[in-house]
Amino acid sequence: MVTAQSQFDLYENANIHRGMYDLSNQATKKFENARTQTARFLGCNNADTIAFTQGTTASINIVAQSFLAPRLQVGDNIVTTIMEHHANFIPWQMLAKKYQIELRIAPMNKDGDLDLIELKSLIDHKTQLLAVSHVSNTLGTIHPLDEITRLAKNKEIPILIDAAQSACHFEIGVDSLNCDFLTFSGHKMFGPFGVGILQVSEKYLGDMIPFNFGGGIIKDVQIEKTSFRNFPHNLDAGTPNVSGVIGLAAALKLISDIGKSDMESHLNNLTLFALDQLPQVPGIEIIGNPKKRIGIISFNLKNIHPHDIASFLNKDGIALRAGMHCTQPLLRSMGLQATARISFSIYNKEEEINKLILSLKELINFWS
Amino acid sequence: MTKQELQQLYKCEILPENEKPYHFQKSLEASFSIEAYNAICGDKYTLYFDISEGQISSVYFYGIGCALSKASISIMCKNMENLNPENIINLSKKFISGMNPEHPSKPINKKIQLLQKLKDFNGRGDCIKLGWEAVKNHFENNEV
Ligand SMILES: Cc1ncc(COP(=O)(O)O)c(C=O)c1O
Repeated sequence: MVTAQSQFDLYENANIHRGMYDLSNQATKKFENARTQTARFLGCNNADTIAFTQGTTASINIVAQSFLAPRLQVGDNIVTTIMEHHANFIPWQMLAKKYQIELRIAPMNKDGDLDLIELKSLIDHKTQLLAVSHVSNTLGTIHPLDEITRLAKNKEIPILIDAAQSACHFEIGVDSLNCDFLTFSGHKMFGPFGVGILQVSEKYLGDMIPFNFGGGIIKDVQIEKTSFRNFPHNLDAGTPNVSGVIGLAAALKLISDIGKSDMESHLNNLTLFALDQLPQVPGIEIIGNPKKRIGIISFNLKNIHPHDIASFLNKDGIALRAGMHCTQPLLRSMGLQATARISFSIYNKEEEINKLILSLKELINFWS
Repeated sequence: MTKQELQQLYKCEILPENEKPYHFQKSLEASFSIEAYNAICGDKYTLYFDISEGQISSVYFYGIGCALSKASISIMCKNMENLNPENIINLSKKFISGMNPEHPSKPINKKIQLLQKLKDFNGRGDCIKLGWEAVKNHFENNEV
């Protein structure tokens, strides 16, 4: 990823879709190849379903503004869940407020699994979107997307899936997941920061209307009116993050070369090993016990705040996130103020989990 | 800061203050209260001030947060009693500016100086400043 990006920055740097010179043409070609490559990564032949964005948050906000806002009417509702990252919650909350529609929030049970019966009861003929994540960034819950998407597809309701936590190790795509909008970020899959993907199903490509105006997205501009290109070329007004996109394409190649199923099974083994070993830490409380979980485990220690845990483990070279993980509604619904969170990647090893456990035990001894 | 230095500071300063914080209880009869809330991490305290003849006569606090934010607020409460609002603003300003790694800490007293040693403890400045910032903002923007 770094090599691909720096090759572009050092030797091939030029703006795209602009110049009539070789360097620009070559940059355009690389950029558009990245689109084709991304489509293929998502099991799709149509590169025009892919928009490059600044990340998951940006992708979700684009769906909110470009697709959803223009079709909302008083009395409509949007359905999401209590388990979402703020990025997949606040945009809907804001639309609900602005357009006086209802935001319906599916609850979860105490194990950290979505309550599918409740979810089903929230979806009706006035639902304009179902927005749900694939994997919870706080509990690691893998949501049963087959069942969930069926609930909405039966009623022809558009579905958005936030795949920020699953894009790296699960087969995803609007076709394979049976959804209409798919969002994820480069930096969670060995790609650069500040670049991400929005994939839109062919059914709704024509409903993606521009909302962020400027150069690069137009067909024709007259003093009285402007006509626009089609999705995805009607979204990225201005100059896109060309080197970021080229870096992202290299990251996708890396993931394909390693193989998603190998990644998934490695993460799964680490998660199971950690769940097996962590209970030996005195006073540990593992948060949630979902039916299926991958890569992420939240926990608390008796009497030691997650921030203090993270600060001390940092001194042992262990990077642990502590706090609310941008999921305040989720934590509140569990009566929690913060958690410490372990998250694994392909480079982690079982020895590191053993080291984590030793560090936690040492911290508990020190604290008492 | 090495792990040993961190442990030493916690053992001598932070943990005792965290375990037996000063005036750690709700004071519903207080003259006024201030909320100190860090929305990023969820630490949340209410600070209760009693005022008598233009001076803060007592400060109590209650809430949930990490050992650092709690210890820091505990030390702050002790230091704010018997000050008038102007001195409270000055003290909090001095403390907050002393927490800036670019600024030298100005000596206030030994406890506060030890607390300020943690300013080089990456990422935890907000925990230490939480109560102080809330008090400074309140006193600067409200007639007491
Ligand atoms: C599930 C989930 N959704 C959305 C986001 C937001 O991603 P970004 O900050 O890249 O926009 C994250 C980031 O942590 C996430 O974990």
